[in-house]
Amino acid sequence: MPTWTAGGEAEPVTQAVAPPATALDLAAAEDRVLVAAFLAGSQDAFQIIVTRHQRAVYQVCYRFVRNHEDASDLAQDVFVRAFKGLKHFKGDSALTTWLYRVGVNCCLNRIAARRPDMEPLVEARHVDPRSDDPFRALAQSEKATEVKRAIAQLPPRQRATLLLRVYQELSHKEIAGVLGGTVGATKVNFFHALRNVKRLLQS
Amino acid sequence: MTTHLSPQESVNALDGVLPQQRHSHLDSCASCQTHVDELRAMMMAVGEVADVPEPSPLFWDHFQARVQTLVQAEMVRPTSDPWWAMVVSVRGAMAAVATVVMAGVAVALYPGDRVAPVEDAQGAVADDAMALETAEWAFVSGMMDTFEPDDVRQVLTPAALAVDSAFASLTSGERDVFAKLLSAELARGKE
Repeated sequence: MPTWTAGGEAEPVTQAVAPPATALDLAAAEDRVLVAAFLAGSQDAFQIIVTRHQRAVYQVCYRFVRNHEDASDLAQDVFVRAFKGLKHFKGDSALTTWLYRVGVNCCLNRIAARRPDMEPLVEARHVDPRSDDPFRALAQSEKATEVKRAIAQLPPRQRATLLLRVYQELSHKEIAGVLGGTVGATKVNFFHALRNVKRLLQS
Repeated sequence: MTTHLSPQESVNALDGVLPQQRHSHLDSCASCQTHVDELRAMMMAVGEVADVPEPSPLFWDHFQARVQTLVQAEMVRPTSDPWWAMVVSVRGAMAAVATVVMAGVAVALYPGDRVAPVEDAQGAVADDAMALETAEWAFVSGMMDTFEPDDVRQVLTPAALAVDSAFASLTSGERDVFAKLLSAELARGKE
């Protein structure tokens, strides 16, 4: 029966961190402790990492691809890549940031491989007719659709910067860590992303 | 007169971290104020877009199970081949080519309208092959001398767990299609 172990000759991410003895300890452990335990051969550590971060990773993927099926596939891919690549995680950033980096790379690759005409242009609008003001709700829904469409048309790095800043609430420094580059370049990307959204909404 | 805010400074103004000196300019410059207000409005408009719909609670259990399956498939997949594996695979590929060429020769010698008993056919192939004095035959027979039967068998036999790995690499959509095809084949087999 295979186990959830890293295998290979990986170096422990933080040598000073001793893996907790029991699964109960692991459930409450910090991410760096989980990573160290995983690299030391713990069967449960990786599963806890998945459980702890699956929602955030899925949400990032969903915001890129705007549909459940692709987001689910991409999120799975992120964790498989994480399983293979955790031995390279140096611990100089949060595990969440590192997972976002893997996730954004997966999403950008998917977007690059997909033809533009395969992007969903209009999502299903869900307007509750029992709401107090269905017309207002419809207007808001249409506006949201336009904004989503504008975001989908942004260049990949601007799109990634905008999504990570507004929805994931990452700092510009963290975004620079995810996407690579300087903090200044990230801010300029964010500026142009907002300007382009405005331009696309007006056009 | 000071210069207008740069893109980076505009974002700093949005974040409330613009240095005091530049903030003085922002307070006195209508153009920069309009600019930053527009950026802020856009950021709010983007932020107001409906959030990600939460999948069903069962989804997360299913998700974890699928990740575990994929990870286990990764664990049984060899990470890198030793140097000699390439030599073996090259020999195996050459053996496969030779096998195909042999089959081609056999087909050329025995077109479809000449159906013969197996024993007779084998004898005929041997006789005709012996009689064949072409350069192609010399090439084929020369190649075959260099191969072991095990090499040929290795090429023609699927690698261990290759099917599992191939299945694990399918997307959910591809798995659905595969399941439908499999069901159709099984149904056909029962008929």
